[in-house]
Amino acid sequence: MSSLLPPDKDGGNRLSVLEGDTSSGEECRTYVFRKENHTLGNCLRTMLLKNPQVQFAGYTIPHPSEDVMHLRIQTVEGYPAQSALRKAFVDLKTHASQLKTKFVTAVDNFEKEGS
Amino acid sequence: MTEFSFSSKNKLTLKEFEIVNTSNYDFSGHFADPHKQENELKVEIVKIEDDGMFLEFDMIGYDPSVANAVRRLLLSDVPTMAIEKVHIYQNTSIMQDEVLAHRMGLIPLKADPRLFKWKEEGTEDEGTEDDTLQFSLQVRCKHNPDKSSGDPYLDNKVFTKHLKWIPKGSQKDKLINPGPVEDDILINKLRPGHEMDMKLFAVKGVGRDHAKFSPVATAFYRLHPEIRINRDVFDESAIRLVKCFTPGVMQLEPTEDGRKKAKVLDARNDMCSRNVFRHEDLKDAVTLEKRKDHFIFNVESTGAIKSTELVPMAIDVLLEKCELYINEIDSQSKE
Repeated sequence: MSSLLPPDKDGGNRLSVLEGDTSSGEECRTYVFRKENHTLGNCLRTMLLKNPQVQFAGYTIPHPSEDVMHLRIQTVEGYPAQSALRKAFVDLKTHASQLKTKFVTAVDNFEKEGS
Repeated sequence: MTEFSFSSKNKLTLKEFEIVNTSNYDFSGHFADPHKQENELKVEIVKIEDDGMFLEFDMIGYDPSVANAVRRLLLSDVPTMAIEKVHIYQNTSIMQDEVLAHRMGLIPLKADPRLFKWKEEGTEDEGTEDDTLQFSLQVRCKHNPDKSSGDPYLDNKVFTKHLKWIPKGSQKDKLINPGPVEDDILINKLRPGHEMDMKLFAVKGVGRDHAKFSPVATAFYRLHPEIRINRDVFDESAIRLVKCFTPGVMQLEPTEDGRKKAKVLDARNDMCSRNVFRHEDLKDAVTLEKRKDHFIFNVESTGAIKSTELVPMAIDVLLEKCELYINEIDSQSKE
């Protein structure tokens, strides 16, 4: 079975950091996502805001003609923004897996009741 | 008699000229529900019809960003097979080549996209057995020699049933009938002397690239409405009040002193027309609200994959994306 995501023709990294941010320390970062939009952006933002060590989290799509999303993270002292981002992805993965399990169970129960 | 509502924070109110309390209070530091308990999050299936192709289900307790992500993924990120390249050898019909080719692309195919690989860019149209599905369409219209039957022409209407699958390599062992979902989709109309001879190549794609690759006819959600009666309404006003809402939402119930009172039966099917605001005397009798964390989803598949399988596939795409970015973060931090 092949992957569900289409292959990336342009190659290279889908995630990079906006220049000039590293001077302010590890706690502020703007991440640049290629080929992403509200689907991932809004979910990540929600997961980031649930983290008590995140002071600011927001995403924007600079221009709809370009397939790019910026995600800005500002965290408390001593907690790198990259850890917050990684944690948000891990939390989102757990959350989505739970949703999938609940859905599949619900479908099975529904079909069992029907037959 | 007022109903006790647990939290006014999780309902938005539909007023006459505005909708209030729509924002989610999501800024950092505001923890109305820090990591909601797992048992508060529910998924309930309401209806499965049409052999699994139509699905109605509820997501309760989830954040709107996740519900919207599922909807967006269903529309644009779950892959399907659709005809991409059309080699036209003969087309003497009235329809132009490009219009005909466009129509062929929109035909929904039963082939399961999970059995195919992504086709690489730049490779020839013929493709391999792993990434391409080949069809052939050859129709010629003739006069009907049988003068007695009503139809003066033979094969004057070209339907999807005229598409023939040409299996490549070992496809005939692995796939069963990957043709169009419906046999009676009209493609073209011909007259005697017109001929169509084409080879069609179907590949795997996503809705983000072209809407023909979207696996759902549509997928949408709405919030669960709620109607609260602020003061009792009787008789003639009650009849008018019941008529303001979608049939089946409100009904009249008889009281002890012989009058009829309006009562909310089930607000779920209300289409939120806010018709009640057209009646000056009934405006204050009800409060129209929607539950912000109760999403009623409707997913209708085009026919390739069942809706009950499409939703887990959509979540799988999200999981794959998370996996991809976690790996990128890890590899970048090692540098």
